[in-house]
Amino acid sequence: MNIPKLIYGSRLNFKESVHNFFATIAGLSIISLEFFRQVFLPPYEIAEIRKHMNELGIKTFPIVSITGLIIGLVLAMQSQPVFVRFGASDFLPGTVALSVVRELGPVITALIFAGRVSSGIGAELGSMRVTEQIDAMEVSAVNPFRYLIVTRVIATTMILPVLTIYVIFLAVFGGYIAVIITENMSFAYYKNAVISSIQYGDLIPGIAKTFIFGFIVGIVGSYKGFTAEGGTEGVGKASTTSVVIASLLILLVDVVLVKLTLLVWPTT
Amino acid sequence: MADNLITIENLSKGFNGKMILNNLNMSVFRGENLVVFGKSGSGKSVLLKCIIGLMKPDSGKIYVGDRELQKMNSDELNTFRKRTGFLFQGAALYDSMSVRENLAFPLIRNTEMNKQERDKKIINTLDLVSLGEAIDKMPSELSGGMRKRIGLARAIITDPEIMFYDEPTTGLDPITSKEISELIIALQHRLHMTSIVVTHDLICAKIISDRSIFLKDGDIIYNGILADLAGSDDPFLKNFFSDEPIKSGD
Ligand SMILES: Nc1ncnc2c1ncn2[C@@H]1O[C@H](COP(=O)(O)OP(=O)(O)OP(=O)(O)O)[C@@H](O)[C@H]1O
Ligand SMILES: [Mg+2]
Repeated sequence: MNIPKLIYGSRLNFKESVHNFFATIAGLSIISLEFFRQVFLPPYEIAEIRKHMNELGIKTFPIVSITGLIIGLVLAMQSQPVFVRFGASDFLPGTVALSVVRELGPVITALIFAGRVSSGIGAELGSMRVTEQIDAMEVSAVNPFRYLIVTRVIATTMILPVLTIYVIFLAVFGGYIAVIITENMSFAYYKNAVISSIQYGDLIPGIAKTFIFGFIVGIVGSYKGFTAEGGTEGVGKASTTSVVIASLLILLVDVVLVKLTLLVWPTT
Repeated sequence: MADNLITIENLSKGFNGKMILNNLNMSVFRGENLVVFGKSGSGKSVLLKCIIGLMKPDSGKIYVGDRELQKMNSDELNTFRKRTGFLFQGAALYDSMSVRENLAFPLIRNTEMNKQERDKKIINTLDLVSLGEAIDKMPSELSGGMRKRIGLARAIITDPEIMFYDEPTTGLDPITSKEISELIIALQHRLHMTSIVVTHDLICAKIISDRSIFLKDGDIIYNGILADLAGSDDPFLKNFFSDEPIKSGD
């Protein structure tokens, strides 16, 4: 595995920045390819994967819970006056649910997840790199890529969809809270309105893309951490740049996926 | 010719255009304790990392037995590494694991031991470095010298044939330092271990050294027994080993 090196320095000129841009793309591609090459080879390190999934779940549970509730709450509060003005209050539950399922739930959960987890992986692997722990693993004849990266990327890829589904439920519920503050609507009515407005064509692409977002979060953090250099400062950089790159990539990939979904699953 | 375990031919390695190792030739004989001296930054750690395959040489060849290191595939390289132990200069303990888990890691990966055998081995090895009471501590709770000794314990726990020690006694008090040196000797006798020891510690070197080499400007400027090295007439070496203030013209 030959990962191109970045140029470090506080003030990079244009050429160096362009170099770093392409080196980062190349590095991410190499790490991703290596992931797919190694993921099916034993040993599978199931215990490590389970440990990471647990940790990720516990670490992100509080923040995504609050986020989920608030997305739904705010969305419904903002939309409600408009819907009332046009006499379309009946469409409110469906609209909230659709926005949350198709777009807001997956993307906002992914961004929060990136902020919390990419940085964590970047810092963790970065400090293992600069204190030679990764080298120590290698001389114990353990493949650090498989033990450290493959396990983490699998964990982030698996756990983000679960978190997203949870966020969607909370957001829809948050929407209900906003509605009943000003209006009289039974939960059964709200629930039915939500369920009847959501189709598989909304749900499946919405959840499917979170696997990709989870993969991005894991890969970016791993790439930055694994290639960290330059002592504690390098660790800090690995951690912060992970978040920036992961968030940008999530948004970019989202645009592409939304376009793709609309082509494959046209909404009537 | 003596029984070469490791043979290095014309090894060169540089960083950012600066040569650290320059056409270096050396051998390590089976069963010996080879001490590597050299000023800070002379490339001692780099040399060890090249031999274990953590760093790729720019040019030159490294043979383990009669196999060339660069030509090994990953399975062969791992087989070689399973026969070795490596004490890193900074100990390189796994932060996220307790001392017990740190020591268990190579055992789980590279031996067939069951849990009971592992536990017994871990306790015995910790006793060798007099740190039995640290077994359930996390690395962050250990002092620098303790970390070093745990790193040593982790490196020797698989009873390797070849040991690489990067400054095993740095940061230890004189008594512990002597104990560690005696341990290195004991391992050599008990397991017929071959060791490469990087050290600045003359007391340690006196105890363990069968042969010494001195690294300077990317090459070996001395190769022989320690007494001759320490008593050398060469002004640079004289300065290195004397406890007098540095004379001008080093
Ligand atoms: N990964 C690296 N990248 C760039 N330069 C490096 C790297 N590793 C080592 N060097 C450089 O190589 C030289 C030799 O380093 P090395 O760590 O081998 O020294 P040393 O002889 O072990 O010194 P000390 O006794 O202080 O440990 C130093 O100048 C160091 O800056
Ligand atoms: Mg060194």
